[in-house]
Amino acid sequence: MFMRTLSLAFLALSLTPAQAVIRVDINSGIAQPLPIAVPGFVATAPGTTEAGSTADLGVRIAQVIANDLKSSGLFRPLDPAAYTTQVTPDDVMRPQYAAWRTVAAQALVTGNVTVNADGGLTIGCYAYDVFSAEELARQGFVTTAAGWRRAAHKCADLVYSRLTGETGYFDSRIVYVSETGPRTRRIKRLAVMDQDGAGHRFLTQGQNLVLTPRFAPNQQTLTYMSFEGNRPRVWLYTLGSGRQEAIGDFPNMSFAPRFSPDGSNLVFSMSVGGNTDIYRMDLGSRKLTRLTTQPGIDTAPSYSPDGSRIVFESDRGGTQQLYVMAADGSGQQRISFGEGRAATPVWSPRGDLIAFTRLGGGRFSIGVMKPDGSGERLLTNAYQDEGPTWSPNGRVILFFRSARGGPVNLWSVDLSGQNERRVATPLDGSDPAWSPLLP
Amino acid sequence: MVTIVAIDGNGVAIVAVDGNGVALIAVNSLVPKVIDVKEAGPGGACSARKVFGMSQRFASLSLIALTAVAISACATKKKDLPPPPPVVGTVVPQTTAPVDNGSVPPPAMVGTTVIPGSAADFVAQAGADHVLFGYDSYELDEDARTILGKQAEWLARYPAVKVTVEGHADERGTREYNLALGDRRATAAKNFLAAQGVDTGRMSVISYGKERPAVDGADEAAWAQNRRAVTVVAAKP
Repeated sequence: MFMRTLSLAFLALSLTPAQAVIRVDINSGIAQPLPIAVPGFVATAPGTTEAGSTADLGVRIAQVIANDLKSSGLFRPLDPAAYTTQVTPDDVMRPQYAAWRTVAAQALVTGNVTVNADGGLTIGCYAYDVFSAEELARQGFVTTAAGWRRAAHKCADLVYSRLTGETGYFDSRIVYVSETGPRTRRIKRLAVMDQDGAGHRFLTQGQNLVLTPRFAPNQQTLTYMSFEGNRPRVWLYTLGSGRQEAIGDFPNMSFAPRFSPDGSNLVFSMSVGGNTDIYRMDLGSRKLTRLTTQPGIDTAPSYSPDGSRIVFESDRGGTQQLYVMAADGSGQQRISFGEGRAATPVWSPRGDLIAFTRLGGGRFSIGVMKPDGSGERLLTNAYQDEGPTWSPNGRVILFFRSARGGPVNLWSVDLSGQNERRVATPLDGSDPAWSPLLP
Repeated sequence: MVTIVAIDGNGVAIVAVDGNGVALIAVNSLVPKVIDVKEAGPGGACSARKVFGMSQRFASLSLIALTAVAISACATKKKDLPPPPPVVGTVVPQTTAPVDNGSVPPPAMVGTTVIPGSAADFVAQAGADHVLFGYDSYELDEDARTILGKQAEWLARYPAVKVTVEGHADERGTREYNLALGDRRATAAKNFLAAQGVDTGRMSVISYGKERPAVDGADEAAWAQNRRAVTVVAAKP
């Protein structure tokens, strides 16, 4: 029996039982991606939905799953043209392991698609270890026809989770700022898309300059900054209704907003007479509390996932550096040292790391450090890599990269520093924010 | 005859050319200027855009001159249109540099068409609508203080005029920090104007951070132009 050896650096977090078979080691940047076969999902019976025929959907579901797994850099989906194995309805739950071994697939994902009486779909998702001939996981998803993509992402999350021991992140969305036009008169629009780029839509039409959109934990609301009426302020955007609302009629610029992890508060910066401090607003009462009082620029606040602390940047010590304070503003302490400046900190959803932008030598890098400032690692280095945001499982960092005098685009990089890749958007893109996993 | 007939909310002077054309000239931003010439006549759309750099001190003159060029360029493509009227107006030339350059005599004054109290007049009289800053600095140097002093003199002459002071940063800072830095710069300029007697009630500040560079470029020359505070004369109510 083949058993892929593993280095279990995250053993404590592992969901894998003792008789575990293949494992993908997410911490090893040099490991070969795991060869995995994701043949088209099988239509249990001919059927048609508003999203297409079940046979067609079966192929598209498999493509979405393969694309998700490939994008993680941990899997190498086999090209369906490279194997001739046909998957019959029976094969879905009793794979022809021998045939898959001959094409060197180490893992296999199969599934089936059935039309329900209400026109919706039931999608079955199965994962196997080919060499040990064992089932790894299975899950069924009942969805509307239009929801087939989300079911495919959830299937990919199941496979990722079972093989890495980590929570998945594929069933999630990205909000960002779409950019177009000359830089002196740049047009910026809020846009949202699935994590894999599907379902892209613009939320604003470009009349007003908009910046730094961030998801609320319930993902139904965004907070962002808009220059509407030449009054730069923090706004809320309700995704379902498209409703936009300024959070307050401040006379001064308010910006850099983020939600608290429970969604009840916003933290953001406000500039008064050239001095910028961090404030918290209770969204229920709209009561404003000032959290920093030092002279200087205090901005880019981000909560720890338990809501107890806030990391932010301040130039109170001379240049931009990272500081951590309790959520009530007490105990402010510098955590970043070393060469250059540190900016735009974002706390990982796992709580273990803070991603940030390091400025030095005329370049911007994306880095991570522990909340006490130790263990700093730079993951990228380019003319300008800025504005990190975490995948829901804290394994991948999305950011925006500006080429010198050139375009600006979204990029992602694995926490290991590997798998740096461009995230496609219809136009230029900046200021990304990754949603939590969808419910 | 070129006549400025209105200043819009963005500090854009609208110059009426004749029955066939309207030239729009941005007068509130920095070099290089962008000039749009839009044909408004029945002959269809004709548009020409010129981007040019120029030294601040001759901005007003160049502005008119290039208007003429742009209009001519447009008109030559539309042979069915009457020739453009000659440009006879010019503005009062200004020099902001110390008078130490005897080799360049000031241009002769040939009468002005700039409306006193207008944004174009402000730029012409103060020498510039903007001041520049060093990297990550909001300190006003001597040049900046000289220009702001002239701006304050002009504002004293036109006490009904309100201004917005815009703060800007170059691209070499992170987005949020640069918004705050732009606020610092705009506030520094505003405070200087206030110290020269301009009522703070007439002035508002806004920061654009690195979102609205004056110059599209990624070198020191461009960055230097983009680190600025711009005093924008508000449209008349």
